[in-house]
Amino acid sequence: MIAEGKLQLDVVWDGKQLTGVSIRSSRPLAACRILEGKPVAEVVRLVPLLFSVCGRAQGAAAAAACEAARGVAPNDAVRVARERAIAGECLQEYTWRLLIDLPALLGEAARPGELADLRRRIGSARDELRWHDVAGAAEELLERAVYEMSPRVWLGLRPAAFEKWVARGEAPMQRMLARLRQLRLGGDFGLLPWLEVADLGALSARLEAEPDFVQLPNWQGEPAETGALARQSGHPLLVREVGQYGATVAARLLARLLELAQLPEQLRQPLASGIRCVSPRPGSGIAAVETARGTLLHQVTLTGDHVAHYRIVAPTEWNFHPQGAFVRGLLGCAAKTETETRAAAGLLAHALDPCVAYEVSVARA
Amino acid sequence: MCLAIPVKVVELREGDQAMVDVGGVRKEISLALVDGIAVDDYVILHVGFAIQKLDAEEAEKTLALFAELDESMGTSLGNPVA
Repeated sequence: MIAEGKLQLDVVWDGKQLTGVSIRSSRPLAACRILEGKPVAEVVRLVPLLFSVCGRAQGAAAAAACEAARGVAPNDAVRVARERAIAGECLQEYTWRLLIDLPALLGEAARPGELADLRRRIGSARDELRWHDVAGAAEELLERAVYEMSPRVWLGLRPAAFEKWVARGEAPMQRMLARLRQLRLGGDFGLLPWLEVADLGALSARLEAEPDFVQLPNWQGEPAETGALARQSGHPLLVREVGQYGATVAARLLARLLELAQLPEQLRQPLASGIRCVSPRPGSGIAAVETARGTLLHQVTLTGDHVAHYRIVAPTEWNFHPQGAFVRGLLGCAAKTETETRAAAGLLAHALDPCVAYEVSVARA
Repeated sequence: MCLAIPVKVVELREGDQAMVDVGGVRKEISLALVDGIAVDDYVILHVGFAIQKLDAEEAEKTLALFAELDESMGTSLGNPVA
């Protein structure tokens, strides 16, 4: 039976540092070929069923790409509903990473119960009033379980106050941030910029011309990291963090915290242009949607009312590229023991957040 | 994009755990993120957690889709990145 696949992360350690990193993926990237030959309306309905881990984002990307290809645009109510659904999904994903995965990696207690209630509310939100309820519940949860203050107040902290917050170290998040700053990683890799409509046109041409682009995406010829770090890279707190400690796991955690704190407000006032799409030529459409893991691209070519070609570039392919952020971040990273080596690989993998399970293996050089 | 495959709950266990059938293999998963799951329900599984309960119609549609996918791709789905 078909499986969701996983990433096998193979690390070589020479007793002092990580000297080799390679990635094997069993993810069925060709799965979207099943959409080819089907009517557009059916494809838009099937995509969220097929890729339901981030089904709202996948559904919105599919709809936007198909609309662009047909030369139609959604009305404002539909657009706003999609932006809200994507923000709600992001909220679920970030809280999962922070309340379940990260504590487990650091040997602290996971808190799935906190997340279950939020997921229930998001799952049943259908109108503006319900989304306002979700925003309120999310703020309450985030204040209690993540920031130990209102997320809005936290967002306004100046650097000195932020450092005091980290140093206070009482809440799990502060302890984690302080610990993760000590894990120095390699640097020297680019960040994927916010893709504008003109960029999407260029990427569409490359997707059509380069069959392996979906597996090995690159930005201007170089691998690029996508996700919260890339999106928040201009935020003053993050600029300062990266300047002082480098592109550590802590920097990526901070980037997530910066986005997470803004999400309740985005549920109330959805982004005006979070979903971007363009039609490079009649019958062809490409859409970009921002998910918790990074930029998600869907590209479609139609023949009449049927899908002729369908391609998806997921954030995992950018971040777990053979020369991407995971590999470059770990190469040269110091580790005194095999346990430290394994932990470093696990923490960076978590920070870059593949959309499937992963397994780390360590070999001695 | 990550495929999300529906699995059938075959046994409820203590502590929000359950056994599911994944293509003929039994696996223990957590039900901590979803409510009201009973034996024979279908859920979407993601990294060891049930993330969504499917109603009978959704489950049928989704399973049919995955069966079609299985047929079209065979079992050798490896797409090594590196």
